[in-house]
Amino acid sequence: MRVCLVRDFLDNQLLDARGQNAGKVDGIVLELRQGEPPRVRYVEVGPVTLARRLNRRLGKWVARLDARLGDGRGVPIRIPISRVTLDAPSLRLDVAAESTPIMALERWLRRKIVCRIPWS
Amino acid sequence: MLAWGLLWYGTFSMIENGVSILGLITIAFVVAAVRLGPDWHAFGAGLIPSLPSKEPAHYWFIAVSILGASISPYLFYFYSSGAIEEKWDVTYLGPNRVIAAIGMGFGGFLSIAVLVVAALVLAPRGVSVDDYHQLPQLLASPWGRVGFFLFAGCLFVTCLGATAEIALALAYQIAQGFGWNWGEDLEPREDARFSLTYSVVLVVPMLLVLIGLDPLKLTTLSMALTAASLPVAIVPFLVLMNDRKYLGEHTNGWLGNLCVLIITLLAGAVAVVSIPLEIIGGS
Repeated sequence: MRVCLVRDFLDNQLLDARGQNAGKVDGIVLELRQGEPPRVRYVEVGPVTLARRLNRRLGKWVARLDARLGDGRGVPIRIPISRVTLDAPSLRLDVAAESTPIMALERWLRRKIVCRIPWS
Repeated sequence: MLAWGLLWYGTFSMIENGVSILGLITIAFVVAAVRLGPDWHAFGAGLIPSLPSKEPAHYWFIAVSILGASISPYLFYFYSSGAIEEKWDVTYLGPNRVIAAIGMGFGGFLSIAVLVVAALVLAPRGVSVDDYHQLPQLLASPWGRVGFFLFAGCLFVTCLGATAEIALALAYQIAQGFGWNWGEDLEPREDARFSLTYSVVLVVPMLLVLIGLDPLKLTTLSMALTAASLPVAIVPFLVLMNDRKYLGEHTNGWLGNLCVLIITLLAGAVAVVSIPLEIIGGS
């Protein structure tokens, strides 16, 4: 099967093992090899990668802010390509995103704001 | 607050059906238009567009704003997200056409009724609407106190519907853009980012009005800005509606593509003239 990385991976929807939305593919990490074609190693998710794509300084600023969300944040979230399968037009992860850093902001907002609103 | 409560605690069908049924109160304008007895010949002649005799810049500004508001991007996002919320599948393609056509047609029909009532009630008195306070006369004139309350009811329901719709449309767009969990039928704790996005979207305009911006001026300005942003929203449809990866065998035929092309060109023209017209004829 022929896969176009930018068309079929970059900015496409990620679904976790439970079918929940788990962000978009914000970046792709390639490994350059001597005398051989480059190999895809990871997909990157999260605001740090997205902000870096727009502007380096913005990326640094977002990374500082994002680091406050706890472990695994403040840096690009990397998922090994072996854990991702193409299910066009989306991509499927073989893990549940809920417990991963991908959902750190969702968990923080839920705990700090949503759960404090009555009957939510 | 009411719109927020509706979105936070309600479900999609509750919002959709509730506001639609309450919105039928606006049929009062159709009844008023017929009861006021317009000159049907002049009404028929008015259906054919004609050039304005005075204030051409203001006329074209309003015309472009109405076009911009009628095919505004948020409608696409809201309607298509609603289709996902209600789990429409390929069997809904037929009903979808009927719903879209009747929905837009009915809205246009009501707008014509409002125009007719305005022409019969306000124009003879030389009233040119530049403030919301002048509007209740539209129904108060034929029906007195009852008409005033009817108008208040119409304004309340349409504002509530529009507020809920726009807040949801923006939250849908942002949540889908970033790939978050979203859905009006989910509990807010299941899609905290989505729920808090529409909450912020509801609060920000409220603050703008509270610091003293005129809501009517803000509306016309945002209609012109919407018109200016139209091509960005519509051009992708030319590509998307012909993409077999997404649409399979249901891609546009030549007629569909021609329609999208015409709307795109119209949107381009509207976008180019909207900002100059806003400056010349906006106030």
